[in-house]
Amino acid sequence: MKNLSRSVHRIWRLCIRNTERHYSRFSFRNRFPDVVACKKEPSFGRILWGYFNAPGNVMFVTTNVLTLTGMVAYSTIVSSRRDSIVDDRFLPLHKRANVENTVYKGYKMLPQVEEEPVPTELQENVDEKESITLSSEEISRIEKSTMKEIEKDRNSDEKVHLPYNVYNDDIYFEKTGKSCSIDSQLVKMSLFNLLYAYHLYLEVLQNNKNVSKKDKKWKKGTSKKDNLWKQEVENLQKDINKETKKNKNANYFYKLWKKEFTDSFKELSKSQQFHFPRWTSYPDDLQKICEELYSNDMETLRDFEKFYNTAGVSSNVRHLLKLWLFDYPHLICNNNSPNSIKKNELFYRNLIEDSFGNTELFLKYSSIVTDPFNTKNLLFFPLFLTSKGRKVVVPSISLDTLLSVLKGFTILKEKKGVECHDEIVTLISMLKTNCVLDNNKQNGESENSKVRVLLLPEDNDGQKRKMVKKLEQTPENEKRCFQLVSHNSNLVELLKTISKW
Amino acid sequence: MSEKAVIKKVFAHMKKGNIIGTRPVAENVIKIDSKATYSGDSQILKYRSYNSALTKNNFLEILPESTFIPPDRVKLINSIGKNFDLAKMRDHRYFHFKDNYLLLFKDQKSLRYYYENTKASRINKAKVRFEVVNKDMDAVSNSYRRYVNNLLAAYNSGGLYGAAIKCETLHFGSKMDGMNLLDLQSLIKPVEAKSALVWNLPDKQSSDEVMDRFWFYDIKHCFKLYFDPDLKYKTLYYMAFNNEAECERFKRNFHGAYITENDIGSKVLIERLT
Repeated sequence: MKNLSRSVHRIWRLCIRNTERHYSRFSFRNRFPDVVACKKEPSFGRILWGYFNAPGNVMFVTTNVLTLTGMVAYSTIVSSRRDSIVDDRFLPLHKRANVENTVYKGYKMLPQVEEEPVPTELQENVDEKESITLSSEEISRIEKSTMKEIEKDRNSDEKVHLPYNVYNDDIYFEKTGKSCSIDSQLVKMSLFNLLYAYHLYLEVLQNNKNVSKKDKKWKKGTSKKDNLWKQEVENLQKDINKETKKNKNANYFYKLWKKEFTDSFKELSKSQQFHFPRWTSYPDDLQKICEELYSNDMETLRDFEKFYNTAGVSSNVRHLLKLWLFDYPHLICNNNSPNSIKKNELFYRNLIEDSFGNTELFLKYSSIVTDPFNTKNLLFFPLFLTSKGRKVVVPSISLDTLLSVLKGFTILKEKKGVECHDEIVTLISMLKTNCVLDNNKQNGESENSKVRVLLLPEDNDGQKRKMVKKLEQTPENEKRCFQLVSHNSNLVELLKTISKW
Repeated sequence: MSEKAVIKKVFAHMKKGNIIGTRPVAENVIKIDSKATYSGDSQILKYRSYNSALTKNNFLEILPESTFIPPDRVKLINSIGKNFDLAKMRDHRYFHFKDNYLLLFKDQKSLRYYYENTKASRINKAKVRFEVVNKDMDAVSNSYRRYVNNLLAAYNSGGLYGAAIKCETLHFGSKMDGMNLLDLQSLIKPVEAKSALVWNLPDKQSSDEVMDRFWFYDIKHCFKLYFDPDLKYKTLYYMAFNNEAECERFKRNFHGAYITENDIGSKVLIERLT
């Protein structure tokens, strides 16, 4: 046993020496190894003390402690400052928000006081409930009384000031005129202006004698108001010499009118505000025009046609209307219902036949057919339908329409001597290349009406062929089509007269 | 005289607005200094309408002579335009439109001219009916004065507005002394241009939170004028801006916008006071 204990002690000593040598080369024990050696069992505390006692370690520990305290101090200072800032800035805000939401009690609004927020009854009640415990009876009493107050407020609504108008069955609306689309309003405005100006101009041009004759007619009405028109005319006649030419050229008038007034009709707000003036003092024909224009919807080409037929009593007015329609077709919508398709084309034919005598107007309207790039053709002519009912974006005209245009050119040449070779050639070549048989036509109709002439652009032959192919025309159809065209007696007659030139 | 000259003469005559039937009286053209059916010493016309968006231009356009003048040039050409101004009758407490316009004329001559020449005119297809403010002149004037006072107070601060609606005497009374309605209108015009009423902002927000929310706009200050305790989101705010352009921008960007908070939302409606 003794031997065992000795060996253990030795090992322990060696261990200590080794560690001391290893960890603290300059330690006290290292310098005086005998002192240590003489102590047989060094305690753990002593070892620790020894460790701290070393000069290097003392420095290390003290610096650590100092840094730690520094950091803690710094962080506390910073956080306390931030807290104080938050308190300063947001706490009053929060308080104010509470005050605002309670001060304004809806329609029982109280004025806000800027500096000192007024504690409301509600807040006081809440505080009381928190601080003093109220009996349930008291609570119910308070609730009842507040409910009563609210009810009172509701019942006395009339006296309460509200931020919106309250109407009790007394909403009053002025009677308004007819409402219609912007386009139709524009049509009405410009047509009224055109025809009013034209009538006034005609009257001004009249001789004084003529005026006095008409005057008698007006005096039958015997009212001052009826003479307004007469006064106006006389006013304008003051500086006009009697020798003024009475040309009454509607074409010239229209040109000047367009130049003068086109800009005025661009404003949508103006057209929106437009309304007819009182036309009771106007001459009879102008009155009729106004009445018709007022009652007409002026939406589709059919409406315009109706107006054209009823209002266009004199040829000059019809002329003006034709000129107008040629310039403003975009304002009138093309109604593509099956009933109106045919009538639209008929109307075009009427217009063309009406203008046979007038070179300028006829050239304008015939250009709709002869110039395939003229987009106005979409107003009058329907798009071609294939056998499957698919629409092809190519307008087509009937053979009769083409013939009446051709007839117009022959009349121009024969009566007025206007050369229009190019147009005639285009029309005949259209007959050759653009004829298509329309299989959608009903059986009851004559076969001649089945022939449609396409208004195809003449840009590229390849494209044209593709387009015709799309229409699914079989060779048989083509043959039949040419047969029908060649047997048309009107066409044969026209070609005969042309060949004689 | 050539044909062209005659046509031009007719056109020029028409362009001045001389189309028979547009003016109601026998003499086709009434001159400013001519005698008219209206007599009295009032210089104010009242026009009733539910439409709060009418401008001075709308009232100038109905004169027959401006029929062919583009709307943007009506102001420049019409001589009568210099002689009157338009004021909207607004509530003195919440500043909402009270369905009436006031046409404030500088003199009776121009009022007479305007009154007679617009008898057959229409605004939005409805015949205009002007009422000459004669008997209830004091009531109209007092209510307008009060509105001007309160709006000036509101533009200054919420606190001042609170005080202004509470007491009977006018805070800015000394400033408005001796002013007629036309002067008052010109006094309040710049303030109206910089003010807006905003409906339906979330009701639990404070004014500062609202300002923080719309920090992008140059808001001077804002405060709650009203809220409905039964309907959430039914609030009315008054907003004062530092300049007119900001006010317009704010209205353009947020009028009709849908604002949600805590899964409840509503459309913000903005009305400028101009």
